[in-house]
Order: sequence, then structure tokens, then C-alpha cells
Amino acid sequence: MPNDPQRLYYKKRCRLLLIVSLATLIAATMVVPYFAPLLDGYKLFGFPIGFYLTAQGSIIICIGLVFWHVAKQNRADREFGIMEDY
Amino acid sequence: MAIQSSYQAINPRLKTHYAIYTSAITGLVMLLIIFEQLGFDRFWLSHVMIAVPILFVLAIGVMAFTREPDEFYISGRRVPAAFNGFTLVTAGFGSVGLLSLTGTLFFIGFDALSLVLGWTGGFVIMALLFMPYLRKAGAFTMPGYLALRFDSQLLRIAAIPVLLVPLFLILIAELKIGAFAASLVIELPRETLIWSAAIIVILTVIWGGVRGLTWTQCAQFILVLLGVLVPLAILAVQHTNLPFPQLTYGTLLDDLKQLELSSGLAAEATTTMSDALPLAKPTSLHKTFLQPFASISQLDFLALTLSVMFGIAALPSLLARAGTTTNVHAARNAAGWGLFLLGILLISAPAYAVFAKYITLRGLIGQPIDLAPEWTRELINNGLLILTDRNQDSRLELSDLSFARDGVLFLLPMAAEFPFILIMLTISAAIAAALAASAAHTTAIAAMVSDDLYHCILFRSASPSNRLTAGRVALIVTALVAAWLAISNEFDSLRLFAWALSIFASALFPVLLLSIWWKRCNTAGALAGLLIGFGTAAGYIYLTEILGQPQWFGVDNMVAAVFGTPAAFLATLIVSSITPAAPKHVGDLADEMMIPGGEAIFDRVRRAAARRRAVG
Repeated sequence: MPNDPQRLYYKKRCRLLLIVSLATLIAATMVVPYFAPLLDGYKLFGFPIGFYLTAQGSIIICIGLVFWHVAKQNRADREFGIMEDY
Repeated sequence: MAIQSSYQAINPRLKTHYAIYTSAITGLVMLLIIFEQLGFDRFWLSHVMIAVPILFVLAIGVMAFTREPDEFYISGRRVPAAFNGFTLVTAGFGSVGLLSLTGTLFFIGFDALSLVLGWTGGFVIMALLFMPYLRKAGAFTMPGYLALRFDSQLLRIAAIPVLLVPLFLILIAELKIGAFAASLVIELPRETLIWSAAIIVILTVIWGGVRGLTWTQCAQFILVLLGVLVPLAILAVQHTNLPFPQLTYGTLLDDLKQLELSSGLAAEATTTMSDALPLAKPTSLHKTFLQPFASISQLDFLALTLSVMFGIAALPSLLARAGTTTNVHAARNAAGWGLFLLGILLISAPAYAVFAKYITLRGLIGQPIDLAPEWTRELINNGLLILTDRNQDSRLELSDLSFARDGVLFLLPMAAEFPFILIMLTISAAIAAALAASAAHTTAIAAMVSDDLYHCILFRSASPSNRLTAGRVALIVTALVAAWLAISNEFDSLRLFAWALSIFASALFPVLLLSIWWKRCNTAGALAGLLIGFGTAAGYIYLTEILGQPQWFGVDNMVAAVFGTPAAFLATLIVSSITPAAPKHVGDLADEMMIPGGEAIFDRVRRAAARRRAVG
């Protein structure tokens, strides 16, 4: 039943989740480094903020992003009953 | 819909086994430190520290012996998510990441973060866009996946050579670095070390294929983590009183900046990428750590990030792991765990580089060259450090120091004058990383040759025992050919790695992405994308590197994906659109891949084929 409304809603929800996640990924890995020179004047735990965000912030954001994405996706799968038991 | 799995249950005592292994390694290090204090011969101590982890790994490899093709190719689809995370990191990061990345950070500081970000993003893309869907498809290899998704043997045949080339490049890079790390302890010629690395790889994975690979990689990853984090944590305690160097090295950055300025390291204008990225042979420092975009321009930074990102996301050795997870949910979690563990290493690497740079510069700059500290002797003997007195004032200045890129990982424990065994632990970790990554790439190649070429194209009726024999022969041949290739060329390992990733990013990434996310994508489109992507990237590397042709638009061949990826995307999109749509059953497969529940498509197709054969 590829076209029933519930299935379409599920698809839409997954697509939205994916778009949000990919936008975060692009921001964390491709935008942050270019702001580093601007932010390097400020300090956080002794790190210049621009360097800190590039070297650690973006990695931490990405790790959080994947676990968040997986949790959201799993919940959607469970709600629509298309995830096997685990 | 709950599906009864036809596979065995997960071993409930896995965590216990690895806890025992970790304690054994820790105990070994402690014991050897005591022996060192008692004055035992360093030759025996160092060789025991290198050999025992390798013997452990060989023993695990033998214990994973199997006679089942499913165990041999996909580890029986029962590897828990966290353990799959271990294997993903060892295969994807490897010794190139451990040694060359740390070294590159040591040399160009901020600019090397393009590689770090590429690695991170690659794992994210793999987790979000590829892993769950490849698990649902469930094929053994990437050519196998393409053949399944498009129901086309032609794509399988085309994908094998296209993927073999970059996989061999990356395997050669790992073998070279492994031999380099081993050469610091074992005084044998480089050729012998590469051959022995290949033989150890064969003996590790030949018994159990992917099953043996999985459990040995987990053990090797634990050793890598110990070998990197223990020296770093000890040094951090010495300097900042906290064992978390990743959090505290910020305070050191100011001191490092002062040190760099006082030793005359000036801000540098942007150079080309091939000048900026350090080579393996010793070079002097040119760039301050913190200065952004000084050795690589902003555009090159982005190109390198994207090239590494797409390349890692489409690395077949990683994607093949999708088949080993228990279900789609576990495949997602596995990629998450992989990124988490990779993140630990990626966050530690800049800290490691900063600490290493700080203590070496502080210990050396301004010292009289004849009275250079005791620890430099070992480094100089191993060729990791070269001291020259350029202006004959018999004092060490910045331009007098040359560091070997891949030796930076060992610079830190040596310069901090740690116990000899801790240095050996780090070297042992580097060797483990190289062997684990080599084993992963060897297995990926062997699976492509023995399953796709032998079983699915040449001898479709091969019996399970013949398939396993083919798999084992393929492993032996692959490792030996790679060792021979590694000996017979002089290319830099980081460059080989970057070329391989560029080719994956061009040949496989666009086709993989569109085949999963664009239902209209058909056989002709995928074939065009595969061949044009490979042709552009590999051709550009061949033209500029081997034939010495000028670069196009000043783009370095390490980021050949700049041309290859867009070309492959365009080719796939255009050719798919102008050729007739795929038949209905292929479109249904594409739809089914998006549904997370149920058994793997590969298993269903295979069962249906077996039933047809039985009836017919």
C-alpha cells in the first residue's frame, strides 16, 4: 500500500527529519570553519572560540546529531509499526 | 511484523571477553614496566610488547574459524551495534588517520582540520543516508548491492574493477605506514616488514573471513585507544593536573603561540595544497598552529573536506559492515557508535599534536646543538627528527629542526621521556591500526573477487565449500599483490589515501546516493555515473601525477573529486532521465529498501532463487 495516507505521512516526516539533519551537518562541517577567524578573539576554557568550534564543537554536534536522528527515526518507525522488534 | 531470524543468537559474553582482553593488555604493559625498572634488556621488552598483541589477534582470528559462507562474508548478521562501531573506526580511520593525520595537524594546525571535518562528515553521511538502507538490501559487497538494486549483472562486472583500484591504493597506504611503524622497533628491511604485515593480515582473516575480521578489529581498536589516550592523559596530568587533555589543551595554546612567535615562526602566505600538506620525509615547520587558512586557501579547505567526506561515506570496507548488523535499527546505531568512537580519536588528535609541538619546541629551541636532550638521540637514530645547524651558531633554531610527519605520534611519548614501554605501547597501537585497516580492505577486495566475480559471475553453482576456498585464495592473493605493490612504488601514503578517497567520492558516492534516494535511477544511469566518475577522477590523477600534465584550474590531484563527483552526478541524472525507466520489479526493490522492517532483500532474493532451482 504505497499510497495510503499514513504511509505518505511517514515518508514526509522522514524526509523532514533528513533535511534538518543534513542542514545541521552542512552548518557544522562546512560553515563553522569559515567563521573561525572572526571568533578567534574570544576565549572559552582557554581555547580561541573559532578554533574550539572547528576542532571539537563540530565533531560533538555531529555525534549528537547522529544519535538524535537515530532516536527520532526509530520512534517514527515504531509508531508506524514498520520496525521489527528489537 | 516480527521476523524470525535464521541466524544464531548474539554471544552474550562478548563484553566479558573484551574486558578480559583489555585487562590482559593493561597487565602486560604494567608487567613490562616493572621488568624495565628491574633492568631487563630493552630488545626483548620491546619485541614482547609488539608481539603479544599480534599473537592475541592471530589467536582470535583462528578461533573465528568458519565453514559457513554467511559467516565468512557477513559475520552471520549478528554483530552488536557497539562492536560494529569499533570495526567501522578501525577500517575507516586506520593508521593513515592515526599517524598521518596527527602529523599533518602538527605541521599545519588549523588547516588540517579540513581532514578532521571530512572524516566526521563522512561518518554522518554514511549513518544518515547509506547504512540503514544498505542493511535492508543486505548484499555482501558493493558490486553485489548494485547488482541487487538494479537487477543487473552488467553493473556488477563494471563495479568490480572500478572499486578494486582505489581499494588497492588505500590498502597500500596502510601497509606502508604499518611497515614504517614496525621499522622503529624491528630492525629488518622495509620489504621484509611489508611482506610480514601481509602475511599477518592473511593469517588473521583467512580462518573466519569477515567474522575473524570483526572480532580481531575490536581487539585492535582497544589497543589503539589505549596506545593513544594513555600517553596523552599522562602528559596532560603533568601539565594541567587533569587527565582530560581534550578539554585542557586550550590553556597550552597561548604558551605554544608565544613559543612559536619567539622562535620566529611567522604567518605565512597561502601556498598550493601539495606544498602545504607535509610529506613523510622530514621537513621543517612553516606555519603557526592556530592561524586559519594560512597554508591552504578557503576553497582548497572546502574541497579537501568534501573530498574526504564523500570518500569516507562511500568507502566499501565500511559499507560492507552494514550487512553484519542484526537489523536496520542496529545498522543505524552502529554508525552512531562508529562516529562516537571516531570522535574520541578526532578530538584527541589536535590535542596530541599541540602537546607534541609544545614539548618538543620548548625542549629544543635555543639549546646548544651538541647538548641536545638525551631523548633526541633515539628520534634521530630512527630518522624521525633531523637536527642541522644551518647558520653555524651551534644553537638550535626552528629552521634547524626537521620532523617526519608519520613520526609525530611517537614524538610525544619520546620527548616527554616516558617509560620505554609506553613508547612501545604507542608503536604497538600504530601497528595494530595498520594491520586492522589492512585486514579490512583486504577482506573487502577478497569478498568482491570471490563472491562477485567467482560465485556470481563465473561459477553460479559453486558449492559453499568451493566458495569458501575461493574466498581464502582471494585473501592470500590480495594481500600478497598489495604487499608487492607497496614495495614497488614510492608514493606518499597520505597522498595514496587522498587519491583513493577522491576516486570513491567520484565513482561510488553519486551512484550510491542516487540509487538509494532516487527511484528513477536505472542501470544505464548507474553505469554511466560509475564509469564517468571513475574515469574523471582516476584519469585526472593519472594525467597530473604520472604523466606530469599541468593541473586544471590549479586543483590538486588529491581532491580530484572536485571534477569527478559533479561529473558522475550529472552523468547519472542525465543518462537515467533519457533512457527508459527500470522495470516494475526493480522500482519495487527501491521502494522496499526504504522500509526498515522485515528481512534483508538479499536473503529473500537468494531464498527465492534457491527454491526456483530446487523446483526446476
